[in-house]
Amino acid sequence: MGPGSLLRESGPTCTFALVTTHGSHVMRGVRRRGREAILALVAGVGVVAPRGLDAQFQTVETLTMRLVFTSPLQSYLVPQVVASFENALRFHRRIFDYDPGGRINVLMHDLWHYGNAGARPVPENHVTIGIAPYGHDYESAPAPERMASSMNHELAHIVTTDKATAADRRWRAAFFGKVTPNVEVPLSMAYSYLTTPRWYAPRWYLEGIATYMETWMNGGLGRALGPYDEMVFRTLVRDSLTIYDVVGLESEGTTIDFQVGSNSYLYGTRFVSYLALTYGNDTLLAWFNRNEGSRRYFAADFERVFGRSLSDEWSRWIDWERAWQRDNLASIRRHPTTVARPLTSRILGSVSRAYYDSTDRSVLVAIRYPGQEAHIASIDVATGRFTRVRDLIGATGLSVTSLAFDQDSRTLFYTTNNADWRHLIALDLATGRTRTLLKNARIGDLAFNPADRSIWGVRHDNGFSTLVRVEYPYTEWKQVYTLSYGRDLFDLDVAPDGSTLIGSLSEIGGEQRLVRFDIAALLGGNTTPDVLFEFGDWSPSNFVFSRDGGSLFGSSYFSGVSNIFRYDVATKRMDALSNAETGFFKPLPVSADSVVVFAYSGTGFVPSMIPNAVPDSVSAINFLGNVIAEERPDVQDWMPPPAGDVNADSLTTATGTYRARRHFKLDNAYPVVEGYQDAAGINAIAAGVRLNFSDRLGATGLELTTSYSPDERLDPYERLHARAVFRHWNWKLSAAFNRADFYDLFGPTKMSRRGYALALQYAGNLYLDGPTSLGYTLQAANYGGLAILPEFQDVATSFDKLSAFSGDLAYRSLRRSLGAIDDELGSTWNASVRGNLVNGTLFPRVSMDAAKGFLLPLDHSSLWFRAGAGSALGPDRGDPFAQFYFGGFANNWVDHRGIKQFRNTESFPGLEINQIGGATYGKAQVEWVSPPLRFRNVGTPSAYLRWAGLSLFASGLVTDFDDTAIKRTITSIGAQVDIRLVTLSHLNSTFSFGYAEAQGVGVPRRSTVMASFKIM
Amino acid sequence: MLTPEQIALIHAEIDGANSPEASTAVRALAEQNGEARALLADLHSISALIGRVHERAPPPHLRQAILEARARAMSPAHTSSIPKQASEFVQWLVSPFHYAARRMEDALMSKKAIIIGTSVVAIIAVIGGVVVGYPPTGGESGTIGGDPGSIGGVQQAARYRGRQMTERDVTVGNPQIAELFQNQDVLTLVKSDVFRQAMNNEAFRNLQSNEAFRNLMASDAYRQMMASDAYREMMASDAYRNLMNSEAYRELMNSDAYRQMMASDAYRQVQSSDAYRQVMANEASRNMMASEAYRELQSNEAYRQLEATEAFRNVQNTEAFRAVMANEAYRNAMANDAYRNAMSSEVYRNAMANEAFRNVMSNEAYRQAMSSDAFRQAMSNDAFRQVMANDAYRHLQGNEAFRSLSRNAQLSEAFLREASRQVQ
Repeated sequence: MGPGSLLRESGPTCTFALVTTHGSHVMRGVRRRGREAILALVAGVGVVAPRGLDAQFQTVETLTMRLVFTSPLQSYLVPQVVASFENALRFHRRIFDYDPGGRINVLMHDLWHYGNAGARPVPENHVTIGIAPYGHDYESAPAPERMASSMNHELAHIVTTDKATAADRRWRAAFFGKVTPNVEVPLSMAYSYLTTPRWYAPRWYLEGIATYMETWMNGGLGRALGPYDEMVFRTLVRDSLTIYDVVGLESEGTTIDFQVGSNSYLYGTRFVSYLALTYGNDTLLAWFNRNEGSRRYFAADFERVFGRSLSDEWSRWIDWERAWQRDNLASIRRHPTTVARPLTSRILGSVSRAYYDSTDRSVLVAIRYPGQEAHIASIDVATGRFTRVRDLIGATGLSVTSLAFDQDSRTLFYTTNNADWRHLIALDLATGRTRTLLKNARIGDLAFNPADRSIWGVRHDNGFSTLVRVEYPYTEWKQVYTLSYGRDLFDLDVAPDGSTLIGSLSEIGGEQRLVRFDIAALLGGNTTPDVLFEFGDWSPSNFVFSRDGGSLFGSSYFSGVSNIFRYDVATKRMDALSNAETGFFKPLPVSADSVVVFAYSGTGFVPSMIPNAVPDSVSAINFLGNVIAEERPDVQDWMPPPAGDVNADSLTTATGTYRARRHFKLDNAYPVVEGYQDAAGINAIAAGVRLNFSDRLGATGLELTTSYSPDERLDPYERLHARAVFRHWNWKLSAAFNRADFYDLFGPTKMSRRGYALALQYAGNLYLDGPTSLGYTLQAANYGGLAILPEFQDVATSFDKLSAFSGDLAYRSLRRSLGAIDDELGSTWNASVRGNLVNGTLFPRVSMDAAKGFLLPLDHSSLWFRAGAGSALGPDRGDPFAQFYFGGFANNWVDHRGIKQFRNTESFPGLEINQIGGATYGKAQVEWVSPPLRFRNVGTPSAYLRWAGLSLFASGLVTDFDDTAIKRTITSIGAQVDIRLVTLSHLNSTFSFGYAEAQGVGVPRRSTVMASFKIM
Repeated sequence: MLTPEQIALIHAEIDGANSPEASTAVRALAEQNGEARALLADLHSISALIGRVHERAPPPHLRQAILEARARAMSPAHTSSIPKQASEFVQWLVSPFHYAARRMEDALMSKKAIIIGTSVVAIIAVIGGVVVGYPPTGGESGTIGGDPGSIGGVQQAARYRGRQMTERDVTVGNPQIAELFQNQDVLTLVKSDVFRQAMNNEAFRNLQSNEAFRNLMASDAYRQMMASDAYREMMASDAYRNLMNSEAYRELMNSDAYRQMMASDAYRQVQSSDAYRQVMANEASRNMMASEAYRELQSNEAYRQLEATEAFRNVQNTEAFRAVMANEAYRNAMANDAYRNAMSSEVYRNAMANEAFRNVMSNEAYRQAMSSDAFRQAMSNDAFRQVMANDAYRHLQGNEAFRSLSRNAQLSEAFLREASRQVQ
C-alpha cells in the first residue's frame, strides 16, 4: 500500500495503511484495499479457523526478497517473480544508488479479476501483487508481461519512499525501525515522517515517477507513451476545461472527476514527463532521489533541485501542455474531423460495452459516474430518453461491468463484483427480474452466441486466461482453451450466425492483434486463430460484428487518436470511419449508415452517432514520450535484460511453508504520551513507550504500551498503565491495567479505566460477497479493580469485579457512488447479546438496531433512517450493569473515531454523555446528508481543505418504556458540519462542529455544542 | 532443421505476403519450433532496422528511364497529337540535353558529391535550425519506431519501442498443475466427495507417490493407452465399473498367482491374439469359467484356435497360469457377473485389441504398479474405485499435464496438496 492512499479514500478513516497500485488504471479507482483486506479475503469468510491459515502460504527467499504466495497453484510463477524482482531491483540500485538493507517482502495472491499491485515502505518494504491479467480498457495502461512491469513500477515506489539519508537512518535507529502511523498514537505520524519522509508525498508524485520509470523499463510500453493520457489532456485543452493546479488535483481532481484516483497517474506521469523533457533525466531523478543534502519534504526538495517553487513549475507545465495539445489538435484538424451527434444530453461517466435492443430501438449500457450509483441504462436512439434499468453492484473502473445481450429473449447478461471474483447475472428486460447464474465464476468479456444461446467469456484464474463457454441454461462453464501464461484474450464477440468468434489477443511483449476463431474448430480442439489485422503497436479494441455479420467495427489508436475502424470480412479491408478530435470508442452498428459510438469528453463518455462512411484522411498526432525518447535518449537504455537471463534457482536461499512465528519481530518502538482520568475526575499525564511486533504478512501482531503518571494526586495503584493487544488472524487477545489513552488528554470523552481487564475476542464472517457481509463477534472479558463501567464513562460500578460476555451478529451492505465521501445507500442491522456477571448475578441484555439509506436525486445526497431497541433481561434492572446509557454527540475534542458519532445508538446530541439510562429503550433517527462542498484551491500542497459536509438530523428516544413510572421520552434535533483537512498528503483530519437541542417529558430543554478535531 | 519451404514461409510472413492461413501456419511453427522462432525474431529485428532506414531516391536517369519506358509501353501510338516522325525528330533534337542533364544528376548522386552535398546541407540546416527554431517540438508525428500506415488514408502514429519482451523475458516453472485447475471437470472432481475420500485414503496417497505407478504414468505406452478411444470407452462402460466394484476381481488382482501370470510374456502374447479375444467374447468360455462346462468350450472354434497357438500353450505351461487356474479368487472372478460382462464387453475387447493397451499390459512399470501394495490397497478402497470410474478423473488421466506430474515427485505432491486444499 502506498502513498496517495487508495485505501484511505474509502476505507475506515482510522486506517493509515496506504496503497499504491499498478496495472490497469481502470482498476485503480476501485482497487482500494490494503493488506488487511487482502488477508481477510485470503482467510476466507471467517468460517475457517486461523489454525493452519498461514501454513497454507508458501515462501521463497532470496538475499533481497521474501516472497509469500497464497496457493501452491501459483508456484509456477515463482521463477518469473524472482527474476523480475531481481532485474528491477538491480536497475533501481544502479540508477538510484539504493540499498534496501534487507529483504523486501512480496505477497502474491489471486484475489482480483485484473492484475494490480501495491507497495509500501513501512514498517518494512512490502509489495503486494495480484497475478491476474491486466485490464485493457481504452489502452489506458499499456504494459507487457505483468510480473516484470509490476516489479518495475512497485520497486520504483520502494526506492523513492524508502531510500534514506543519514538523518533518516538515525531516526530509524532511534525508533528501532520505520514507524507506521497509528491513530491510537498520533505522535507516530511525526515519527513516521522522520523515518520515511518521502512517503509523505501526494500520489501523483509517487505514481508519476513510478509510471515514468516503468514505461522506459518496459521498453517504451507504458503510460508515459500512452494514447489515453494524450487524449485526456487533449480533450481538456480542446474543451477549455480546467487542468488542475497542484492543490486542486488532490483536493478535487481525485475526488469528483469520473477518473477519480486515475488522475494521480494521469497528472503525475504527465508532469514528470514534462520535467524530464525540459530539464533532463538527471535533474528529474535528483528530485526523487533521497540523497544526502536533499530536503525531507518533496515540495521543498523541488525548489532545491529546480530553483523554483513546485506551484510555479506546475503552472509552466500547464502552459506547455496547452501548447502541446493545441499542436496535436491542429494536426488532427488538417483533415475534416468527424462530427458526432450526441444521442442524449447526459454525460455517462464510464461506460461498458453497449448493445442495441431492436425491440424498443434503444442502446443498453452500464454506466458509472460521480454522484449516483452505477447502473444499467437504456437510451432511446430516436429521442435520447434515458431510463434507469437496474442498479449495479460492484461496478469497476472505466469498464463498469461486462455485458452480453440475447435479443430474442431480451435477456441481458452482466457481471457483478467486477473487481474481484465476478458473478454472472441474467436480467430479464421484460420483467426486470434478475437471476444469479454462476457465483464466483470469475468470467468477464462476455459475448452471446445467438445460434445456440451459449455465452462465451474469458475466465481469469491463477494467472491464466481461459476462454470458456456457458451453455444454456447456464448452470456451469466449460473450459474451451487456456492460453499460456502471459497471453490474454479480451473483447470477444460472436458472429450473428454463431460460426465465428473474434477477440483481441495480447502477447507477452504487449503486442495485440485482432483474431478470429472458427467456433466449430475451436470446440474440436483447434485453438489457433486467424489473425484478421495487425495493428502494430496499437491495440484493436471492442471489435463487434455488424448485424449482417459482413463487417466488424472497432476502435484503435492507430493514428494516436482513438478512431472507429471497419473491417470488411469478405475483402479483408480495414477502413477508418472517423477522424476524431478526442476519441471514439465501443462502436455499435445500428443501421447500414449509422454507428453509435462513445465519444470521450472531459467529464465522461457521450453516446453519439456517426455516419458509417470513410473520411478523406486521418493524420497522426505526436506523443510526448516519443519526443523524450528522441531528446533524452538515455531512457532508451533503461530496459533491464530479459528476465530469462536471471537464474532464479541460483538466487533462492530458502523455500518452505510460511510460518508466522518464524517471521515475528519487533517493527518499531517509540515514546508515547497518554492521558488518564480516575473515578474522582483527576486528569493526569502519563509518559511511556510503545512496542509494535508483527509477522511479515501482518496477520499476527502484538502491541505493547506502558506508561507512568508521576501525578501524585493519583492513587499510587493507578499511576502505572499498561496495555497489550495480540492479534492472530481472527483472534484478538487484549489485556490492560489502568488503561490510559492519548485522547483522554483532551475533551469530555474518556477511555481510561481503573483496574485490570483481560479479553478474548473472535471475529469472523458468515457471509462475504462484495459490499455485503454478515459477520459475528464473540467476546469474553474479565475485569477487576473497577471504579466505573467499562462500557459507559462516568457511571460508577456497584462492584469492582466483572465477568462479561457478548455476541454480535452484524449485517452490512453499504454502497457509495463514485467520488463519495461516505456511504450513501444500503442497509445495516446488528443484533447483540451481552451479559455482565457481577458478584454472582447475571445481567443479560439484548439489543438490535438497523439502518437504511437512500441516495436522493441530488448527487451525493442521501437520506438515512435508523432505529434501535434493547432490553435488560436480568432480575435487578436498576443496577448500572443492567442499564443502557445515552447522551452527547460523543465526539471528543480531539478524536480518532468516526466523525459522525451521533449516528451511534448510545449517542443522543442535546444531552450530556450518558445522561439518560434505562433498562429498556427504543430509539429512532432520520438524517439528511447534503452534497459535499468541494474546495479546489484552499491551502498549500502540504495542507489543504478538501470538502465540507452538512448533516441535519432528528432523533427520538424512549427509555424504560415498559415502566410508565420511570418512562422518559426525549426528542432532539441537530446539525453537524464536517470539514476535511489533508496534511502531508496523507493525513486526513476533520474539523467537526455540531449543535443540537433536546427536550422531553421530565427532561428540560437544553442544547449542546460540539467541536472536534479528528486527527486521522 | 527448417525446410526451405518453412524458411520461405517465414520470410513471406515478414514481408507481409502471407495469407491469414499461412500466417497461422507460421505462428504455429514458431510455437513448436525454436529454430523457427529464432529466425522469425531475427527477421523481425532486421525488418525493424530496415524500417528505420530512410528511403533513398534511385539515380535520376534510372527513374526517368523507367518512367519513360512505362509511358511508352502504356501510350498507344495513335494517342499522340504529334506525328510519329516529328516526335522522333524532337526527341533526337533534345537528346543531347537529356544526356547532359542525366550525367549531371548522376554526378550529383555520386558518393563524393553526396558527402559534400549533404554536409553542406546539414551545416546550413543546423545553422538555420538554430536561427529559426526549426524543427518545432510537437506538431507532426514522431519518427521513432513508426512504420508507414497500412490503413488507407490513415497516418499511423509513431511510438518509440525499445526491445520487445519475448519468451526470454518469461521464466515459469511447471505451469501444468495450475493449468489443470482451469478445467471445470477437474475442479468438480477435486471438490467431489469421492475424491475427498480418496485423498484422505492413505493407500491412494501411497499409490500416487509410488515410483512404479509414476513410472507407469510416465511411460509412452500408458500415454498412448490413455489417448486411445478403446480404453476410454472401456473406462466409461458400466461393465468395467461393475468389475472395478466387484470383490472377486479385487481379490484376483491381489493374488500373487494372477500377478505372476500377468507378468508372463506368454500371457501377454495370448492376450494379443485374436483367438483369445474371440474366446473371451464367447459365452461358452465364460460359462466354462463359471460352470466348468469345459466340453462345450472344447467344441468352440475360437478356443481351439487359441489352444493351437504356441503362446497359449506356453501360458498353460507356466506355473503362474496353473496357479491362477487353481486360484480361488480367480475362480470367483470367473464366476462373477461383472467380470464376465466386462470380459465379454465390446469395449473390453476393443481395448484388448488396442496395441497401446497391450503395450501397457506388457509394460514393466505397469506390472510393478499392479503388484505394488499401494495399488492393491488403493484398489480395495471404495473411494479410489469411484474416483477411477469418475468421468472427470478419466479426463484428468487423459491430460498430458496431469500425466507429466508423475514424472516429478514434487509436482505430484504439489497437485495432491492443492487438491486437498480445494476440497477443504
